[in-house]
Amino acid sequence: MFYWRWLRNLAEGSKTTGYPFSEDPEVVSRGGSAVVHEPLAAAGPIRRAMAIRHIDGGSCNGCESELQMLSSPDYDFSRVGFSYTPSPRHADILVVTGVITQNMADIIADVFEGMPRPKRVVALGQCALSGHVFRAAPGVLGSLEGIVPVTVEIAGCPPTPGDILKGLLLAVDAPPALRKEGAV
Amino acid sequence: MEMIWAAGQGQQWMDHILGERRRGCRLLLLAQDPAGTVWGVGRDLGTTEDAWWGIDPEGGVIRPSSAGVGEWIHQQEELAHQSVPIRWDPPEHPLRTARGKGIFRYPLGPVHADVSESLRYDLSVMGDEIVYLALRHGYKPRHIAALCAGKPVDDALALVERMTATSSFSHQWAFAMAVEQARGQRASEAVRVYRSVAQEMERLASHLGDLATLASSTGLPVAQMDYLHLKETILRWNFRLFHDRYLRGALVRGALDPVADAAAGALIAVGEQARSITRELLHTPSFLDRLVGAGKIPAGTLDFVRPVGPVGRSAGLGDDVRALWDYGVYDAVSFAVPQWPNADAYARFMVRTEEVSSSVNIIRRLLPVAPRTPPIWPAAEFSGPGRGTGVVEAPRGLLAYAVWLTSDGRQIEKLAVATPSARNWHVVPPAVANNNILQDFPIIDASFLLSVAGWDQ
Repeated sequence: MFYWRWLRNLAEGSKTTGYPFSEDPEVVSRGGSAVVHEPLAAAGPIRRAMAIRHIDGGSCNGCESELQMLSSPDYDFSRVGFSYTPSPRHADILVVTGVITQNMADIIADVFEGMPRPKRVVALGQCALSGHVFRAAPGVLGSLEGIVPVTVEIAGCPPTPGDILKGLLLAVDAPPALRKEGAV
Repeated sequence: MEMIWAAGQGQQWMDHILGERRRGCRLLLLAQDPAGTVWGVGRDLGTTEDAWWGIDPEGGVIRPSSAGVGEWIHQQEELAHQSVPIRWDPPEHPLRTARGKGIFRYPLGPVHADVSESLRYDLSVMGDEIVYLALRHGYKPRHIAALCAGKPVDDALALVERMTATSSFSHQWAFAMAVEQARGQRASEAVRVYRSVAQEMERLASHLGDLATLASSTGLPVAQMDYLHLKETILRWNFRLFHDRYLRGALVRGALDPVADAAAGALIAVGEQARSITRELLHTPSFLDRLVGAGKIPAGTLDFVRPVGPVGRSAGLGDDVRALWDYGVYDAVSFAVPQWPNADAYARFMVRTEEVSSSVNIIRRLLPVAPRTPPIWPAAEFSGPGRGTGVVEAPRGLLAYAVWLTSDGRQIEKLAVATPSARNWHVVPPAVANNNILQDFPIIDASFLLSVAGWDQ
């Protein structure tokens, strides 16, 4: 049975980084790349476990690959209260990746509309911020402007899991205790 | 290079192509050159020269569904959508649908649970059984080939390396190979060693990620986490060796970081741990019961599409570009090409696990001889034909590029690409609607794990 392995893993100890609360030379960060926009003031801060809904708006699957790594034992984003949710009705944060094609714009807006308040939008990766090298392609909008209000922008091609984690913490108004530790 | 067809001779074209295919020629790519001629490119075993068959732009090209050239399905579809004077001559082939009392249709996507690319699945079910599946793509095209036209080669490289992140280096290499052929250049052995190491590192990361997703789909988070940890280990080594986790810019960089001297032991350990996870999964009935017999590709589909890569090798089709044409230094290192006949999810799992071991062995042998300082390319005069092809074995299978350069050899005039995912997606619907129930769907989907970015391009 595979669960013997689980017991062995327990005995071996945690593989999870302390980043971003403490420095870890193994975790790559491009540093200082998250930009916070005017928060949804009326919505108020989120002070509980946070569910993430992801939409691919035209990515190369690099951002998706790094988002998947967040749930790996190396980053384990559930330790700070994040998880992925299959339904927009349960979501607090909408993470959008890719160049934002015309075909996906209405779908992204619909999903955002379906999320309950308070809610946040994270534009993840250089493509979602500016269209990156695909800016001139037909049918590529290159940003979320006019579609959904962006709370946090995380740059990078693709952003590293360390940078994504820091950006997500910014997006949910990380509690003062975390700020004091210099994590965000 | 032959160009013997003209307007109204579409049937002769197709008969010839099918004859070549039956003879054993591998059909690589279908593309339109800057002058408008549609070229089919194929290559025989035992040669590294490509055969080019041209058809006048006024000629009709028969739809693949009637002609049976599955290798080119995607490219024929692309050509049909371009505003060029290509005309289809379809016989009566009404779109297949499933209708009847008791049939329900589940639309799934383009937004999915968890982290996933945008693609819509329309599943038609009768009770629990899936009787039909239609895939709808085109939510995220970036028109990469069209963007490359008119760009300097370096700028085009920045675009193609972002076609699919999990096979970024394979795209860089196939593109560079096509450009080098068009310019009349040949990469030195040191360069090919370096590129082979990079490509196998990419394959390791991609396969380990795929295996993690498959473990997750069967409800085994412990195995999923173990595989993800190994994938992260490889991505971190990618960063140390090539200065990018997804090998962006690795082709231009041309040399491993000196830290490579310490890499072999860690990478061998990854291979051993992957084998250990596999061994324990093979003793886990709740895993095996879900995989064996699930998502079996029907024989007719295999004949028609001839899937490539791990999907093809798990269905008795043994093609591996590394073994067919030694574009790297694969002749110098012995490695196994796994082949399973079952064509089901279990076979696809086994092929990937065996390929992880093969890649670790290749890297282990090439690391000591891979260059630590960038090669100096001779400033050769541009003396090539101005047109070239590049073919590599990407993590998901045969990846082919064709480029046409401008007369000075510095800019891309036209670029065409055939990705393995674009081809292999066509085997997914028949495999899913093949005596499977709805609960099997996530597992079957995870056992293919093709890239949508490589389809929509």
